[in-house]
Amino acid sequence: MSDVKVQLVKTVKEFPGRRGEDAVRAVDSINLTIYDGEFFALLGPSGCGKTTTLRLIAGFEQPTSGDVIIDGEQMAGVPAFHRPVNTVFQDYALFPHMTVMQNVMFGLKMAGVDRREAERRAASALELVGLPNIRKRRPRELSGGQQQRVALARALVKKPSVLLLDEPLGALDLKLRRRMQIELKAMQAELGITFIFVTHDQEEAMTMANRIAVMDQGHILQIGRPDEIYETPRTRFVADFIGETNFLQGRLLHTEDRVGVVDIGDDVSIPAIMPERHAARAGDDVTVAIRPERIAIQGMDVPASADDSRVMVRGRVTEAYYIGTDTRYVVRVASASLTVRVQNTDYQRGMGFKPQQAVYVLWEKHNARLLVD
Amino acid sequence: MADDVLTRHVSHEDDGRAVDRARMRRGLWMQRGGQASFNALSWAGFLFLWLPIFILIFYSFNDSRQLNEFRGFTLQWYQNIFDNVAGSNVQFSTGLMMQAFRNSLMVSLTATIIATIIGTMVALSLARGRFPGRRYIDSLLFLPVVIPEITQGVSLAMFFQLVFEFMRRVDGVAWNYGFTTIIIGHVAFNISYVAIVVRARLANMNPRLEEAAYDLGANGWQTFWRITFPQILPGVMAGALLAFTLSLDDYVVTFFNNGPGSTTLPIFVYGMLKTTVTPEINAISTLMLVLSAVIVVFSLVMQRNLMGHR
Repeated sequence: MSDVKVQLVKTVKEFPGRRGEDAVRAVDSINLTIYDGEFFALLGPSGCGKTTTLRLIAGFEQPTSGDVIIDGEQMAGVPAFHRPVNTVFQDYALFPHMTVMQNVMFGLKMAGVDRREAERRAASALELVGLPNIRKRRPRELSGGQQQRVALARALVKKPSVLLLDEPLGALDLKLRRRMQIELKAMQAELGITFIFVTHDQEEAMTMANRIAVMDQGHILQIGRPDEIYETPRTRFVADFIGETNFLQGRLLHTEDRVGVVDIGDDVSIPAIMPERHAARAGDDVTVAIRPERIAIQGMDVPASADDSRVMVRGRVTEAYYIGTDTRYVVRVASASLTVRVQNTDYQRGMGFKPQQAVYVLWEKHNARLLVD
Repeated sequence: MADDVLTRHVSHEDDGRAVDRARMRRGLWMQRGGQASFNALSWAGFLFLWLPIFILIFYSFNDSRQLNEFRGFTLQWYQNIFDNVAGSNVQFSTGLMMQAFRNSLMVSLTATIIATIIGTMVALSLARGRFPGRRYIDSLLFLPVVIPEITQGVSLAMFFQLVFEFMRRVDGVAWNYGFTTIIIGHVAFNISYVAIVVRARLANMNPRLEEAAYDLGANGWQTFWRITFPQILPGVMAGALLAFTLSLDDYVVTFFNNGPGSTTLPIFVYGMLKTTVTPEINAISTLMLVLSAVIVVFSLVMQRNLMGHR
């Protein structure tokens, strides 16, 4: 694999509690390795420690214990202004008393780059982000999208070893956000700079990142490519946070070859893939996850077609919603309700299944997975 | 059944609308009435504030020494101030007045500069610093604003008395009240005002701006002068202005701490008032009003430019 860019080793960040309360562990002993040229996402709900992790790398916070290593160098005691990283802040933090050009040139000026050279580089950075003609304006005169681009230019003009982005698209409207996602991704591929970005938006993380670390309560729950995280979530939290999932509670009957058979009540048992190092044993209560779009529905009149790779169980439709691209059914199976998403590849009025209709639900065996709670 | 529910729902909504309309009419009427009485109130408040000042300005142009008659427009009183012929009033001399005015300016400017520097530093350390007792110091900051000025004046006078006594015993030097004691007194109460104004400005400042500067390679010193200071400058200017005006017209603290030869303009004017209210006093007051207005307008314009408006 390529070179290691940023490494966190057993990094802990505690904040003192207020008024005699216990200290708060915002980051709880995390290990993280980010490689050169990666587009890496720290994903999690608010308060999960993702922004604190980013601030530890930037140098705005010092770890309570553990290491932060950038380009092979220990960053303990190295102030933010001596680190080879630059940050794009969530609210952009453009200097309001300076023009766009002065904002972008600020970092170069601090580095002692001579004026003419700084102007040249700042101009090309503004061109890179697609804003060549607003040099003399002040931040307050710019739209949110423009401010975002200026913040990006201001950080990139320093040619950082790592670019940190704290919810960079959070303040933009949906359309602009989608466009910026694609632009950022292209820019990163072109520049080859390692990007680490923080987001709570799983779709954004999936769209842009090569790898994602899902965080919750100061811990990293799972690190992997977007497809790994989506297809093989290890815990209930990850499965729930990324995309939509059906959870089936049941009792593990027996296991064989990393496949567990789970009794979900009413004499219905289904097979489920067990992740590695899963510790559940026969008789334990377990959770099985199946994505709604991996389930198919079949009428009772069609001949049953279960086989070794497919699972088929009887159910009853309880609700049906037409939502344009898909139709969404809720199907009662044993004691559980399964959400099923069927893509509307064709549509005619009166098509589809009706509430109260008895149906079969089917899925490929590998789509049902046991989770670690 | 569904239809039935729907109709009932609709008719209910109709009733609701009728009630709403009545309520709206009433609301609108009350709003208009309320608006009018608010207007009247704000005009009354405005008059209450400014009527005495208008009267003062008016009489400073009145061609009569008596307040109960108006005999036409004159600039006599203004001329008198500068011509040293303020009639029979022995206490008035243009020389003395100009001296008092210069003293006032000197005291106010010095006290303002010192108080602005110290006050700004206090505000910065309270806003950014992390040290034990910060919260208590923060609340103590408001003390000079709320305690009666006479307490401040007397306590400062006593304090200086002790210092003088001490110095006399130790060094044999006979110190006395004068400009130094007045300026220290003014600085003492002005620090609070400056610190409070600057602190408010700092509280509104985005802390990410400083982080962004660090992130871009600026050290603490560069960050302060290039980012923090320009951001709080309007607050510093406002604080300085407040300090200057408070200092310029301070009577009580100055009265308790002045010495021979350190008479300021308010002390001088009060000395004149002891005998009678002369039109010259109206004229001096009007001039000071104009001066303050000029300073305020100047500072507003400057703040506007600093904020980056165009």
